[in-house]
Amino acid sequence: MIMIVLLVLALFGLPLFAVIGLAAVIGFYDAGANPVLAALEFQRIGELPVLVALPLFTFAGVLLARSGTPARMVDLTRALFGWMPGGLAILGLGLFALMTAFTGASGITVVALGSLMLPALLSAGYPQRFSLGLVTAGSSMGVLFAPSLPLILYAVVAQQVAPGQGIRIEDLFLAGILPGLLMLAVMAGWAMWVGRGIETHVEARPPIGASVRAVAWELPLPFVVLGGIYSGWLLVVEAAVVTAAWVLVTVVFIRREVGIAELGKVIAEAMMLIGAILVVLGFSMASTNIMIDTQVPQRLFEAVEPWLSSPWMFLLALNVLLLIVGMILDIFAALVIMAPLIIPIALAFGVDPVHLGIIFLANLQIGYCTPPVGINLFLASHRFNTDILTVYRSTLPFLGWLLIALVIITWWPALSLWLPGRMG
Amino acid sequence: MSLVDPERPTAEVPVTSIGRWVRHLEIGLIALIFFALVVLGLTQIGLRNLADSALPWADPAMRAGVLWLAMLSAALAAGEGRHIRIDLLGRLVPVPVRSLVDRAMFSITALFCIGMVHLSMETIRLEREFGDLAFLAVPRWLVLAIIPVGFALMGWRFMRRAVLGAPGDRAPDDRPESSG
Repeated sequence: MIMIVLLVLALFGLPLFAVIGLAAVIGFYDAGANPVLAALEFQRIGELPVLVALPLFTFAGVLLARSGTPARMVDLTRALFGWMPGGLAILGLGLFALMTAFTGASGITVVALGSLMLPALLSAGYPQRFSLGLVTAGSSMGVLFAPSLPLILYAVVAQQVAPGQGIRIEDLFLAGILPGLLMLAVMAGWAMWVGRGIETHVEARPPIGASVRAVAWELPLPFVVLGGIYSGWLLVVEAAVVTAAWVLVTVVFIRREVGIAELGKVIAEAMMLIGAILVVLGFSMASTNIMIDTQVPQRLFEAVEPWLSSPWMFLLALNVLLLIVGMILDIFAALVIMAPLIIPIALAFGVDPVHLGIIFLANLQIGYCTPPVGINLFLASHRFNTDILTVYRSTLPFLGWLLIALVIITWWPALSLWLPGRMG
Repeated sequence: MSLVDPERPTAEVPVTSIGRWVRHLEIGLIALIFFALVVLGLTQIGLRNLADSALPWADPAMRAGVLWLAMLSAALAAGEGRHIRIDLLGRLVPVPVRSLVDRAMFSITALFCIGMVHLSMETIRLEREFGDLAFLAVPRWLVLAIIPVGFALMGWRFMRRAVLGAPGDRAPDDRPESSG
């Protein structure tokens, strides 16, 4: 009963940390335990080593978005691949993925990069509707690549829910690569098909040499960070430190694109994103704890088991559920609410927790641009001054391709698990 | 989730001079802790790779820093309407009702924050009895003391929002779960 009241309050806009926090406190009280336990669990946001990476990566992402880097990257893309059929669109997708991997799908990509990419696509002769769809759907790409915040957060939640499974962040980083590339590949294929007849010399392209020199400070960053993480040379937190320091030095001290005075604002902006996520995570650890104590996941499993005759049926139901959840909930909120409930059930069905994480994020990522309420659609509509129905229509073909990729990712576990199995 | 859009209207309620002073102090502290994280992290990487050693206190200090960052910036986020909200139904009701609904939700949030001040004070009392150290000579209770402080600030800001209202809080084209 009380949970229904909380759900209604959430739907009417009670901040999520208060919803989950109240659920945890009431849960402990109901179970005859001291509600102080909720506060004790909450403290653990100061005890999990990997959380140190979150403020650092987010700061780097917000600062990069404020700098001239997105514009320089678009210039470089045009210089290098403007001549190729669909080249600009394909490299644009790669840029989106890179940006989102570093900024964590918080709408930064569509705002910072989408608004640069859209005019570049249009001036290269791509149809309006295609360009809008590419920018909107493309902005959610990259959630599956290291060091994306949702991947790190899933690992943190999964480690809490299933401590015995030995789920490692590094495994998730590796597992995301091929499914992420698959999603990029299907979208790129579509872009090549659309771009095949386009006259490629509509506008003079920037010279290659100058464009490369212009990004000389940024270009090594993804290689250092991704290479460092994937090779095991840098721990995740260390990679975050290097990224933050690198971006800080290049943007503020070398290029001087963001002044010292503005830097305080950038830090506050990035930390507010992280503060809002961490308080929710803190209470979610408390509510997860009490849920497991009172065997909620087990009861859920017993309730759904008669309906879902096989793991495949379970995965199908999971896909539908997560697409809907991803549509209405922010990716972080969706993770902390759904993952603690779903992970134990998935384990009972024999789904690998790392594969599950990839399915989870692929779904939530697609939900981001699924009509009628996917958040990227509203952002794009708002940002590009286009009515929401046009945005829906533009995004639909991309969505279709992404759903095909999702089916492959879901039903072919080896695509996710092969790399961590080989290198882990 | 809040959106990093420079054109987005900020959802600030009028701030008193004490409020402004506290806000500056918070942002200053946040920036200081953040830079400390970067410097400590770089030191650790340098020591690990060059001298094959490490500062044993740096990792717990960085984790403590994250807790402080989280609480201080969550308090800041409360003042600027940046907490994560789902808010599907709240958007459907007419504007005058909406403002009432918002005020009710912020009142509940404020009360919850006050409750958390109480509960976290309790855990700090326990920690003081144990007398554990977090890192170097810093006791654990001192690290944790930011939790009730943060919730007190959040409670105060949500209460102000509930009483004063926040006119810029809900632009019609806002994202479904922005602001709070």
